[in-house]
Amino acid sequence: MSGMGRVLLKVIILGDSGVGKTSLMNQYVNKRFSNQYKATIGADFLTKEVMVDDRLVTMQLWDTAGQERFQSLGVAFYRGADCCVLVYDVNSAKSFETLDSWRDEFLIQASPHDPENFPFVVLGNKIDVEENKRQVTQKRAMTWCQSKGNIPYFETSAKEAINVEQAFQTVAKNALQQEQEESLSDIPVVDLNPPSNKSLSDSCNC
Amino acid sequence: MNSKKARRQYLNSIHNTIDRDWTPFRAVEKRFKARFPPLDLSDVLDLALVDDSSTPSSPKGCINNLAYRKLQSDVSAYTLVDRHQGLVILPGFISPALQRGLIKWTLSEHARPPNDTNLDTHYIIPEEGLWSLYQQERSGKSSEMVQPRIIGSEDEILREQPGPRQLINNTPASPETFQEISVAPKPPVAPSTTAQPALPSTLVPKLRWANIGWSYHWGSKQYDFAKGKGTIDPTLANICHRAVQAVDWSQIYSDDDGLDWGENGPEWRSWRDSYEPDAGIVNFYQLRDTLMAHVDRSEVCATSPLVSISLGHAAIFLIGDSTRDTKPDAILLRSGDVVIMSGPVCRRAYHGVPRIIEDSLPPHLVEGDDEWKEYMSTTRINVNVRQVFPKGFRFEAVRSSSFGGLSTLSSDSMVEIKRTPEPSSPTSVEDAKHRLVYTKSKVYVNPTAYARDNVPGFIAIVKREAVNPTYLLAWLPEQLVNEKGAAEWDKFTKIEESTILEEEDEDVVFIDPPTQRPESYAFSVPLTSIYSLIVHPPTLSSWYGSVGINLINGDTLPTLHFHDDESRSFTLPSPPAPKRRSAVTSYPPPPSASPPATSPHPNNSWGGDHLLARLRSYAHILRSTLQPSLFLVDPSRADIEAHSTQLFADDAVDDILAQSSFVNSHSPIPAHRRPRPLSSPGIGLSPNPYSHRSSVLHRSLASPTSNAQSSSQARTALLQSFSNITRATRHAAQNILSHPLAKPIIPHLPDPVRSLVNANGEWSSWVDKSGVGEFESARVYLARWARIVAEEGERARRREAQTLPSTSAGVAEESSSLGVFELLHSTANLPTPKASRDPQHPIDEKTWASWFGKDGRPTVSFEHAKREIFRRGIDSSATLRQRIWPFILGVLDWESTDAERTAKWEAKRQIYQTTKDEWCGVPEVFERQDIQEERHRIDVDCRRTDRNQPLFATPDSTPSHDGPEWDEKERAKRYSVISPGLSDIGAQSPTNEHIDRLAGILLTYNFYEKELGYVQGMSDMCAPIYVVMAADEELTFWCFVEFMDRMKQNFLRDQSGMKKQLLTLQQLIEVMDPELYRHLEKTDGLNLFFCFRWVLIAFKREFPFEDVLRLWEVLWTDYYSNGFVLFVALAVLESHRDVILRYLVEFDEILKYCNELSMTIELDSTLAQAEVLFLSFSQIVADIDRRHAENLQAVAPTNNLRRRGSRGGTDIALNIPPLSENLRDLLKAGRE
Ligand SMILES: Nc1nc2c(ncn2[C@@H]2O[C@H](COP(=O)(O)OP(=O)(O)OP(=O)(O)O)[C@@H](O)[C@H]2O)c(=O)[nH]1
Ligand SMILES: [Mg+2]
Repeated sequence: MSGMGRVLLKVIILGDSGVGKTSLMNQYVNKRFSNQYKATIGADFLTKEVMVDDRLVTMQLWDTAGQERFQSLGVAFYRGADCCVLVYDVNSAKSFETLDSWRDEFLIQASPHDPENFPFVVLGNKIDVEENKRQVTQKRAMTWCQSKGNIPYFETSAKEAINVEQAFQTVAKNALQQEQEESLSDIPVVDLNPPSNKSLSDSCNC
Repeated sequence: MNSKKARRQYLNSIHNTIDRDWTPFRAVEKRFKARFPPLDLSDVLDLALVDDSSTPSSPKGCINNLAYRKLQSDVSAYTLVDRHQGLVILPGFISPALQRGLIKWTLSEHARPPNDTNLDTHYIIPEEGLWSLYQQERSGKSSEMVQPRIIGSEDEILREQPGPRQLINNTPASPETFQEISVAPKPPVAPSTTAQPALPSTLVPKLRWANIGWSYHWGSKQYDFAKGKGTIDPTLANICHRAVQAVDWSQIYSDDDGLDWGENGPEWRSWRDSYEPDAGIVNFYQLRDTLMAHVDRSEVCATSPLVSISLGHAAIFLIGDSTRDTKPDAILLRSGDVVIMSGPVCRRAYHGVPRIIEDSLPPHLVEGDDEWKEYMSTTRINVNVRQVFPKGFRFEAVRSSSFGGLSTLSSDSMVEIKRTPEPSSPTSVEDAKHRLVYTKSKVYVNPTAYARDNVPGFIAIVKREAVNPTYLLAWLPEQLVNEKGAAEWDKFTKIEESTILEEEDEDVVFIDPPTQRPESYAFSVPLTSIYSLIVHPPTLSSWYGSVGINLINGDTLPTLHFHDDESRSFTLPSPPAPKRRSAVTSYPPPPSASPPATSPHPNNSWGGDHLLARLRSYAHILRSTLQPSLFLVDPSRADIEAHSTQLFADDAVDDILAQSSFVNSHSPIPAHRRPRPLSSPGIGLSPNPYSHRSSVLHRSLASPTSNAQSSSQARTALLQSFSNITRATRHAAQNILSHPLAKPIIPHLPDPVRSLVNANGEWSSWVDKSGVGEFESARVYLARWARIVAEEGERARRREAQTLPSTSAGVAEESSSLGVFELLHSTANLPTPKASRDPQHPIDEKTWASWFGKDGRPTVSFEHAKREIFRRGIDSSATLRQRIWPFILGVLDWESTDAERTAKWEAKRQIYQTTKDEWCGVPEVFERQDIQEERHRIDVDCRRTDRNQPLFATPDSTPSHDGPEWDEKERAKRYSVISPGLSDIGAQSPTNEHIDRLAGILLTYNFYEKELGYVQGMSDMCAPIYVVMAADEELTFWCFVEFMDRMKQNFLRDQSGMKKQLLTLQQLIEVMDPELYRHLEKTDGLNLFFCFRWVLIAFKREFPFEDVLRLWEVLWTDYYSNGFVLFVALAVLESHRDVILRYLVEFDEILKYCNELSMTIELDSTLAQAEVLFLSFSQIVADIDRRHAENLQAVAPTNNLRRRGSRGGTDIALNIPPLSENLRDLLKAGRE
């Protein structure tokens, strides 16, 4: 099982349309930025291998459409997620204000075992844009993150590749932790209930 | 050359002979080459001087001291007595007409890309070929220069005067040179740096050779990627086959002649079947060119026949022995002569062509004014074809070591040649005698699903007697034979009874020429026109075996059903096994322990086996390892390769992956995701030897046990074949194969695929460009790779199909894009639906104009118009779309006059303006919170939509003023810019006038259709309309309204519409392809999210812009179904279903795979498939309804007799699923 083999981490990227989800993902995986990514329709993912504490893990980054009405279809994608990345545009207050509902929606649909401790990472994107256009201050964002159980917060630019690597490294780390906790919590179910009447070979159905 | 010079050379040569001690071969060469003294033919063998008719009984003779022997053969064939064992000359074997055809072919079809020629090294020969350019130049149409590969710098050109001349004029002058050109592995010759642009007319005479088949440039990788192996033109291959088969080799060789045949023993015995040309070269000789003594050493197969065809001027051919120390014999070769060099002696003999003889053209090459006439007045052409590999040679072993990556196939076409009368004998087809060599009765054609309509008849192999006999495969309905009288009928009975005996020992029975009678399903086709047979032996559930016949041109003949229980040949006592069989059936070895058809009827033998066994005597029949029910007839080299390679059997790929250290160290594939084993349930139990092997791409169709429903079998057959059809761009293939993950697989790939791999060092750049991440599911890679294999195969088949004109009058001549599909469908009971699409002839200005009368009222019905547009699409050159789309979308009424339309349009314009005015220039609306949000959404999307379209590409041309702030405000005034906050601008890609207009239209739609709001995807749907309507706001708006009318449901807030669409598609898959359905069920894929984007915006993102336009106008006709888009989706899925079934076992893998199909789907074949799928679907619905109806009435118990009559059809009725309303709705067409 996952113990010794390679780990596949499933990461979901959410946020309003146009905040730069697709751009961030492509910057991280392909080291490229284009201001002509099309609006994401449906869903897609990219994968990337990363080292986390000497372990090679594969991150599967899921990118979905930003418009709310498509989220009802997202259940299939959310399931089994190890980490959720919430993205907003620092130049758009609206996109920040919707973070709450993105987070709630995710928790409802993905229904992780332990919602309180499920790892999120928040990214305030497009910090390369002129300062005078900024609508959400760093302080405001960090306050919100703290209030939600100390969510790690990064200010990024997909365009200038600022902080992208660091942000996703944290995503990977937290996702791996989550993954391991999940699999740990599975172990007792198998080990602690040895069937009394059955032979060992019968019970082994891994 | 003046005679003085010649004389001097002659004297020199005499002198040199003494001085330099020439070899005897060289001496003779020199003698013939010399221009002085004049050519002396006194010791040259000229077989044209032999009077055939006068010496029928004395087959030996002697001309000019050379003893020759005439072989017993249908054609005139000679060999030399006691010399050059294995050399056979067939004087005049090629008919004058065929000579002319071949000349045309070598020049206009063969000596052009992708086939390599000597000129390619130095010049960039355009796709259409040098010959075509030359013709254009001659006709004065164009005088395009051919560009050299390297444009030399000025001073270089100045220094090296004559430019290309010395480089191009490189006639092989020694064996070494010849080898270099044609044989040995070598780095590519560096392009000349001094070559200058040249007129085609100056290059044409410099053409020296053009490669056939296997590319000779094995060693050089870069070269292989670009060039590689070509197919052997089927007509050429056929000529070679005929030549080799015309010789009775037992008159040349015998068992005790002491020849060393190597490992394989005296293979001459099997040449008739095993000879398979796969390489060669066309040499173009100008009058003064020579080919010096050499030996062709490079063929792996050192003994198999080399067939050499002479065209144009006559030449002197010298042949010696294994050294140059023996004096060679000289033979005169004229246009149309064929020389075969075969066996261990002759193939290793030095030979050469020291002299082309002036003024030796035959009359048929001088008369007329063919485009090649002038060129041929100084030319001899030699087409020279070899077999590089012995039959059954394991390509894999060789490939990995020496072949690097051989690649793409040529697209030779021999249409011209084929059109010339094929038999080279003077007898016309009508006069020729037709000899019945094999027949079998009670072979049925089933025109409908109903047994009562079945037509009994005879299958027959007929030999059209001629110098070069043609073998025909024919089917004659009993009625037709009956009409001809008892005598004719008796002939068939007689031959059928004696069918077990060898043809030679039999009384010769001539019959009337079998005819094409489409209305009675009768057909008669030359074996050479058959591409493949699909053979389904009888099974437990399918009472009778069947054989489907697929022609090279893509047509399919009616499937033949063998009712052996009624057939005479099966009611007769068992005859002795025929002599020849075992040798013939051995390639490739059949999967079952006892090969089928080794004797006429062991227990499980059936009529189709007999037919196959007989056909093997006249053609090379290759059973595909990819699809065991597929038998290829005289397959091309490419096909042989593709179909004898065990692509996926033995889980080769899985093994590779498992063994690869790359994968072991950090396999991205969890154990449960590794490729599935191939065995499919039920097959092991099957008594049917044909169904043992099933491959990934083409799973055997005959897995009858579980699927008792014949209609479901029909569907399976129908669907599985799709996998062969789609094509991806080469680019996509390269991306996949260049991924590091693909590396361990590469050495095991079939050549055509492997050639797509980029040169070393380019891996990463490709990966980068393609946007593929560092890691990708190995399975997705495998899947895409498998798809490309299939597509390559299909491409090759189609290319081949183009090389022959339709030979069957029975089937409408249309280039079917469905290929195998049709065939497979026709093996089922349902009649084959055909696609009606004809995208090659789009509606043009003229057609469109012809549909309207004076006052602008249409003269044709709307139905007609829609059908035509559905079938043909709209010509995209003019502004036609702009005028036609409003009609098909319903913006303009069809049944109206110009005046009426103008009036109505005026009203619509008004509505648009009024609606727009609700927000435009009304700040209290425009700046409202909800509208602001809407504007933001629209703006963000429009800036990301179709920016590569010229209209949307350029940033705003507004002259920039003092700063961005001012600029934005200024623009806001001018275009009522939609962008809500200036803050957004900096982060987005810049807008322009058209993007703003587009946004305005979408915002107006928001006011027109209040429920929906702007939804992502709408900009994608509106932008193409805007482009087609040439930025006309009102037209765009109204067309968009109508488009949205069809699409609205996809965008509903609760997504109920999309859910319904995907559910309908799911149900459609369940009916049409239960296996795929079950697979999706297992993989959690039934939600069909991977089709979400396809359906939501009608494939906007899956095709290039121009294709999107063509697709949409087809969809908008609502011609067959309002939900036609779902059939398009189904068609795409079906094209990939085998790959999906085999490789993709997780939902995310399927999603990735489908997303990446984008821009690789071929539109026209997909639409054709969608049409056939729709037609099949409606057939199935009708069938189900009929069965339901019958079920209600049916009280009569089924008995065996009836069961037989209806081919096991009665058990079908039991389990018919009810059809959902959604599915029934798919049959609705046309808007209310
Ligand atoms: N200046 C700047 N622009 C950015 C940045 N990231 C994204 N953009 C631009 O913002 C626009 C939207 O980016 P996308 O990545 O397509 O946004 P998205 O979140 O994927 O949007 P949806 O797919 O519609 O949900 C594009 O025009 C990008 O060029 C950034 O860091 N800086
Ligand atoms: Mg996106």
